[in-house]
Amino acid sequence: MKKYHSIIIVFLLTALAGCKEDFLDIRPIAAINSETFYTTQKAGEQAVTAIYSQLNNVAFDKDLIMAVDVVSDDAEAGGEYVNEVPSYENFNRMVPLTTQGELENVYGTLFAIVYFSNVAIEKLPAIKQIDKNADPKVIDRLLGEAKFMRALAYSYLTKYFGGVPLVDHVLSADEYYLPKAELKDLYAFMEQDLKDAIMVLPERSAYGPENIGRASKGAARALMARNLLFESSYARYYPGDDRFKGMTERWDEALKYAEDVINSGEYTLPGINGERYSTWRSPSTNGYRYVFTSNGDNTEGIFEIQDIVDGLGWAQARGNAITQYISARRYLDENGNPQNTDYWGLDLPTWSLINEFEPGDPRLRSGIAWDGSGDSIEIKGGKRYPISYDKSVTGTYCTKYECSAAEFKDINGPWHSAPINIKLIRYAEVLLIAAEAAMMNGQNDKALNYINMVRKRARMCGPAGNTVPADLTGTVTLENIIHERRVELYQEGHRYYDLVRWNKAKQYLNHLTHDGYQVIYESPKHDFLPLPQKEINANPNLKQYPGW
Amino acid sequence: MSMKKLLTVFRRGACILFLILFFVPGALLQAQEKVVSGSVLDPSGNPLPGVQVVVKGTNKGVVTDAAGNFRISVPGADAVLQFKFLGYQEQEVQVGEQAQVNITMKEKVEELDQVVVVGYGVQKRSDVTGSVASVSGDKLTKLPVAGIDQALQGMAAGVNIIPTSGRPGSGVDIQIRGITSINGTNPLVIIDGVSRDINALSRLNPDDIASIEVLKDASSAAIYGASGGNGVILITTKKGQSGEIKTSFNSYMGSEEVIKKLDMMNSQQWLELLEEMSTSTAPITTRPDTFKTYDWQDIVFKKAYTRNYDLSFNGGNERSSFLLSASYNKQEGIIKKTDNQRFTMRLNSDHSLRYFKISENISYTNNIRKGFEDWEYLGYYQNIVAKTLQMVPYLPPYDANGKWLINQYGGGPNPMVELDMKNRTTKNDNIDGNFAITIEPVKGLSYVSRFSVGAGIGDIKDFRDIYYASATDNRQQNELFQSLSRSYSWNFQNIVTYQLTLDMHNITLMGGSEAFRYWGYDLNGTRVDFSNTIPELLYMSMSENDTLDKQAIEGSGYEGRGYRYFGRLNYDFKGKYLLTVNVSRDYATNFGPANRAGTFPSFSLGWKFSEEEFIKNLNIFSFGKIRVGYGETGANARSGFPYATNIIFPARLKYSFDNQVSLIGAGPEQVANPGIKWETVKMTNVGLDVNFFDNKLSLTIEYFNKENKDMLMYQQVPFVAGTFAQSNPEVNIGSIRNRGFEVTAGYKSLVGDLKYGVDINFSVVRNKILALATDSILAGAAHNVSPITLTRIGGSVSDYYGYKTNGMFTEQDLGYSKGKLVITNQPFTINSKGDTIYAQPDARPGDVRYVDLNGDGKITEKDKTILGSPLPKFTYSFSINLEYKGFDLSMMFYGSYGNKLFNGTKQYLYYSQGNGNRLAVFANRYKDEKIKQDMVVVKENHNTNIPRFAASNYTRPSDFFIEDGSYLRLRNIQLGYSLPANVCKSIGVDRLRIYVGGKNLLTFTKYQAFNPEVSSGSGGGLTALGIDYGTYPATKMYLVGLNLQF
Repeated sequence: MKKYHSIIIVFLLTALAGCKEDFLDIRPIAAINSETFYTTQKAGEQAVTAIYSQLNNVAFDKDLIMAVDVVSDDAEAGGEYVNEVPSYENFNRMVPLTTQGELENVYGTLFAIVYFSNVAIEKLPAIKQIDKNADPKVIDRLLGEAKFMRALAYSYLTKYFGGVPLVDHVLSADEYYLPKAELKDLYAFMEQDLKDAIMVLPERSAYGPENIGRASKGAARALMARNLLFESSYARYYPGDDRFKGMTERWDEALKYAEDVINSGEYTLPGINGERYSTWRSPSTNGYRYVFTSNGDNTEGIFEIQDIVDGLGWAQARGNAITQYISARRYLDENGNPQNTDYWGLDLPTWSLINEFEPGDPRLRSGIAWDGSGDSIEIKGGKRYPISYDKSVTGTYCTKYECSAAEFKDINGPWHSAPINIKLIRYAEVLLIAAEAAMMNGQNDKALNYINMVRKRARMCGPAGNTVPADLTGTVTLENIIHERRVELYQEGHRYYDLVRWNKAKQYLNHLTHDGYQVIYESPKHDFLPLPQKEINANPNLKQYPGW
Repeated sequence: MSMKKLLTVFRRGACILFLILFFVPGALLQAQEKVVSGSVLDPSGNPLPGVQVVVKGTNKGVVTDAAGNFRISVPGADAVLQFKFLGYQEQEVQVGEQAQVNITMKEKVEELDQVVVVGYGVQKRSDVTGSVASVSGDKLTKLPVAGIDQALQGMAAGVNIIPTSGRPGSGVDIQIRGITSINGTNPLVIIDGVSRDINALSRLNPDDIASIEVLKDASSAAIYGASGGNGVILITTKKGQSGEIKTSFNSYMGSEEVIKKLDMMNSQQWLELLEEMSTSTAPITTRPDTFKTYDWQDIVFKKAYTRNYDLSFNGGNERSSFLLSASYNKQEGIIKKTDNQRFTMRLNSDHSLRYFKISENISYTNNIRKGFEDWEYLGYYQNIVAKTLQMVPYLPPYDANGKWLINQYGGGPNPMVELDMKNRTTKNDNIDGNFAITIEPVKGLSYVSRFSVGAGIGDIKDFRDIYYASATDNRQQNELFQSLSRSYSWNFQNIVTYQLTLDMHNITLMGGSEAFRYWGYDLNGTRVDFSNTIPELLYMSMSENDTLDKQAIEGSGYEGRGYRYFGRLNYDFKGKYLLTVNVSRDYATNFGPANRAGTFPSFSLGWKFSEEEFIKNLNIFSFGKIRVGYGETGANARSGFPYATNIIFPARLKYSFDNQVSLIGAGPEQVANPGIKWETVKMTNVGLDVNFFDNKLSLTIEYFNKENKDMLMYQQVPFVAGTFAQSNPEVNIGSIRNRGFEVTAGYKSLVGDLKYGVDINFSVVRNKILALATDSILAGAAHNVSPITLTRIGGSVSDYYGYKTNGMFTEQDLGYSKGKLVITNQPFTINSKGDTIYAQPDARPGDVRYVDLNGDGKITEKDKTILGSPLPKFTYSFSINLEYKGFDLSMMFYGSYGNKLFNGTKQYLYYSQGNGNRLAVFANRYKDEKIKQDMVVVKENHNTNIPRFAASNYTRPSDFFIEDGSYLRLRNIQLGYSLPANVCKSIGVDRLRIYVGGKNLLTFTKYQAFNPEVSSGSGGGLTALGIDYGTYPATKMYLVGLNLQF
């Protein structure tokens, strides 16, 4: 029996002998995995392109801009009848449901930008080492772009939703359930990203025409100035408010960053010397209107959502949705009968906004049409027809985002493929930031100078000899700033959050809608939008704001 | 130890073994010959002719004559005679000094002493403590099916087999004890000890099967660890028998046709519908009464013939035996271009010498499928059956010139276009080899080392030629698609088993390891413009178009590896108290480094109470055993790398920086979950086996409770994870419970010359969703109705979900509202302006009345409710076997009770889009009179319960389409006659049986469409069960066959 013992042992050893763990170390076949992909400059470029691509998410632009415009006193939801589009009417009445898709779209897309930025920010530094052919300068620039985009996303997130979770890296499965962060920490986080971006990003003019839509030094400085304006405003107008604890007035810095943009010589206000431009709309389009009919080739755009018609299908289309949503819904045909334009005519300018303009301010007619204004619209076929207001509840339409039929409707583009860039940051805003910061900083000369640049361009857009709006003189007041921002930046998503930061929302937004609905602004409830219900459901650590 | 080292050890070991074999003297002592004679009787004392009498260890043998007598010369007193006869226990007698050996054969007592195959070993049936169902090969060969997968239906309680479609060569969905996971229910398939892909089942020649075992519970399947969660099917192929070489030839031929046709509208009824739909003020110019009606089901469905031949040789001596078989099966489809043919070859051999045994199984399969693929039947839109049913009835397929006729009134295409133009051949070649050495150095100890390989080649050639049927149905440029794929695998196992008896303790210890790797790749491409289209010239080199963008080439690859250690302890005390413990530790590449390993334990206990004296004294049971088991297994590990993130380049990640061109952007496909792991299936099993009346009546009752704890699902996680417009991560969050019981009963006995047997099995499974990573899953679509099913916590998988209906509105429901005649007898709300808003504001007489379940005066999503389940309340089967003299008769019925079906065929045959034909019953729909130019083109019909033609009646998911899917089907019937032994002898054969039979000859069901057996494949996997699109219809078959042995 004994001799078998050794045999048994040998067999058992053989039977139980296994494989080393490295037997299992195989790489994915026929698929690129995140571990192996980010090794070349090209991969880094594609990772950064993906960040920007989120700006083209279906209807993101219209939810980012129109939803908050409807909330303000500048616009009504619109539609053929009251409540035709209930989610917009809810915004209009300041009673949005937390389940509304617009909230998810804005919140989700902005965090998708944060996610794609984090992927790029984590992967780019190593590429510099791994890819021997990589240009370190390009990698640095890409990293700067990613940081700009992350700050841009957070800039909107903090404005719209307040203290959202701070996500500074790609989260692993056990990190999804983040609570809200303090606003001051989020602002500090953005500030660092923007400082890093300003260091490495080139000026707009240093990009070739093929890269004109990328984040530039000017864009990062402008965003920094905007953030500082918000931070300073919160500190100034909400003293002792816990939400803004730790934030300070930094008007001088806001002015400095705005002036860096102004003094860079990169940007001008088209039409400030009375120039006229040839566009699809007219051979002598005025400068203000020209900005909204042109893409990256105008000298005022600082950062724009790039929009093109590229023939891709619904979820892939790379154009804007605002044109479709906002442009006039009805026109009068040859026989004077009202017909549908194939646009939806939502987000209607209010009469309160129209009345804000100084009589004769050319900016009014450059972006707003009303019953009697005599405006026409280009619809399919390229011909212009008079706008009909028979289905506009306010008797108005916004014309700022109109686009050439030849480039959009004639080629049957999907509804969110209009090829007009959405101007997220433009030079006129930077001038108004500088004016406000200078005013708050006690530098009236500068404030006058900057606000009057904006007014001059407006004036020069009118017919020869136009005198309105005239240059301001004396001391610039907050009322001047409030007025100028409203008439210069209307229908671009600024008004509501300007009123919030000045703590004047209650004063302006308790109003009646066109159909007599009493809008009631409650603070702090309405200072930020409610968080999307889906996010609250998915994250037990995220608490909804009181009152929602 | 690395694999390489392990292989080296194996190689060395093999060399040593051969050396030992070479030097062991094969001493055969020459002894004195003597002659023995005798007679063989059956249990009732009648002579038994045809019994094989073999001298053990030689190939010398004789067969008893008509009087049951034999005469044989043997080497000496040591010689042992073996008596073998089908259906009887094999017996051995030592000759000794006897000159006359008389023997009475005993009927084979089913099961008890039979050895069953379990994971990595065998066990005596009576000692099994888990839940193992066995099906012998004899039973299976009585079924005229091409694949073993289809033969399994009804053979074992709790094993549910649903054919994907009626197409020859199509697969099956196998569910063992319910739906364990929404990710798949396919069991692990083990053929001769080695795991093979599920398609290997259809590659097997049923005639090669010795037995099939199904490991149903976790205590028996846990030895297969992470792969055992959906149950295990173990297949053992036949081995050669010692004795002279026997030849066996089996063949059958059959003719198939559709079980059922649907009654469609005739041309006049169809034209009336056309008039109803038409908005034109003029009647359709051609008068309906001039039209003939063509039955398109008769045009497309044809009689199909099946041929099957099996030829096998087996024989050998004490040391070596072999089985060599070949088979050919050709099955035509009842629809043109759906033929399937299969050729198989197998060589199984065993060579033994003292302590060593070398075994080998090698098989080759060649499968050729012509024409359509399965997936072309599974969707509504590609489905040739749907096209056939909807084809307008007034047209024959071709005009006088043989050109396709196209419906001038719009509507669907002529199905003959696709049938005539399809030119695709799919070929598969597979070789599976299995080599094993078994060493038994000492009694009780055995060591098996098995190395196996598998290789497959797939080959598709699809030529799409130019044709013109109509402006919308044509091809302007021909193209050739070719695809080649290769797959490989190896598997290496080493198993040691040690059996030990100490006093009243019987212990069997088994331990071992297994390692495997599988990999493969494919290459396929398309080119266009072939000027010469004769088959010999259809190769890529004959394309006349060199334009690069007219050439598409693609390819991909995959690989997976894994290994496991496993062990089992079988312990019994006094042969009465039984214990089995299994454990498996698995490693695989499917998951991330943190979750590559998993441990899967199980245990089970048994008590053979019939061995207890106090039970024996009762004299009730001839056998009795209670079993209890618990185990954990894993399920649904996929090949690929779900833990890692793939990088993708979709259009939605593009961006343009210059307003001119979009640049490509890249990003992770989904938020990865590195923590992803196997689904864990936990199952408890309690069983009772009792036999009565001298084992004539056997009864098994089993209860099980199976819970999948970590079902893989996509989870909605917070947007901060980056998941907006991106795929969510896959997580182990879902949980499904299946509980149920199974009863298997059999009775066999004989009355005079009549032998009879009845087998019944019955199984109940209750499915319940315990947890999901999302609130619910909505799925399923049938033409223009979607979603149809809801899977939610507390319910079962894939409940039907939709509106309840309550008949139809009639003229009696009309009333005046604001001066208009509308349906006022229905729920309503009053809006802020004081207007009455009706729940179905546009309703008219003849419209379906939907039930306002929540009573809010509106018909909204909130009124949807659960409308039944596609899962049966129970399934059952029974079979009857009779034998009288040379005649035998067998029948097998299979049934399913209490399941509902969504009749998608009804949906599109009442309300298809366009001018296609409809079901004949729809001619009796609610109609208003329509007069055009003084002619009644639509006759009024208000006295009916079939709603009027309107989208609102037919495009909502409602109970209108839900039907009882219960059925009972005579799966198989066979009447055979075996020639008496003396006649056989006179013509020089051992056995000759001829038979006639049929498959699916009877179906009892209330279900209205083609076939109540609806596969899970139709329209969205396991969360969209029971949605019937009208896939390839099931068929019935009449056949004749013969079994011959000589």
